[in-house]
Amino acid sequence: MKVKIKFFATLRLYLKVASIDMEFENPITVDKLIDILVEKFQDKKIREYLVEEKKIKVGTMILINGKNLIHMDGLNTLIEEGIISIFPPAGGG
Amino acid sequence: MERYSRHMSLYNDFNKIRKAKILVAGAGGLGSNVLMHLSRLGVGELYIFDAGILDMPDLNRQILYDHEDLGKKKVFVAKEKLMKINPEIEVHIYDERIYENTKLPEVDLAIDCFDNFESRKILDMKIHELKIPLIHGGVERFFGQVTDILPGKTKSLREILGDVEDTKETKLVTPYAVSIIASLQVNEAIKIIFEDYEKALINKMLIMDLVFNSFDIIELK
Repeated sequence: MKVKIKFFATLRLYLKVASIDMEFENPITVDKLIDILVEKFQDKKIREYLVEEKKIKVGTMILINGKNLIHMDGLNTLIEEGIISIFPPAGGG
Repeated sequence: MERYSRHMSLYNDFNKIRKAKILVAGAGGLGSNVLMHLSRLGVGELYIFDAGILDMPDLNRQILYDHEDLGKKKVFVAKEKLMKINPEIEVHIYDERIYENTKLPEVDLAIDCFDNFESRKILDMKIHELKIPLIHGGVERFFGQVTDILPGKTKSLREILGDVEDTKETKLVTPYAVSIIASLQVNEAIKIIFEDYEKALINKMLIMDLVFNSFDIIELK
């Protein structure tokens, strides 16, 4: 199962990478994916950036193939294949 | 028509632009850039909502205003400047915020030029009541996003962004990031006026990142 994870804005700047490709044998939850990212980048702050009180942090959008996690099963949403986009929408003007 | 001679032939029916009525919600960074373009394009009628007074930090990006305008109500200055740019258009100003009970004028579409999520949520609700398209844009630092909200055709802005809230921190923003997002919003507004739905950001979000020079388009479902 091939997954591309795209990072945007401040997260991209922080991780210094625009996207990464990963492959899994079985579907994993978003929560598990965050664990994998923490391990891969050796940085616990990634979880703090994305999660608050076991929910996706307010102000962060995680889209799986264009669908916002909040319309699915939140952190328990299963990831199979496709593109995951993570970004904080800009609120200024 | 000499005023429009450098762009009118680029459109199949320029009259659609001349007849268009557009509401611009917010006359700050995005708003003043958007208004500048709409007036130069020759959009027939502009309806501007903003209750703000020009402060010094506004001057880094709010290109309709200058140092002498500090302390003045933005909508009045905006109208004066826009009429100097193009006296052939009509500019209607509303020195007020948009609240849930605000009665909005009849327009063809609205452009979200607000600088906070709270106001955006209200605007999102209002355009769904009126069943008019909304061009959303947001910008911070070197980043920004644009998407078109069409009631019945796309999710609402609230559904797309989730229940985002404003933080207490002052939002930092570069003037050129604001200008680019505003230009993209105007580009979308024109597409919607011409009903060029196929190429518009409908069920798509454009994300701009000037640090990496990237413009990604995410398909929204």
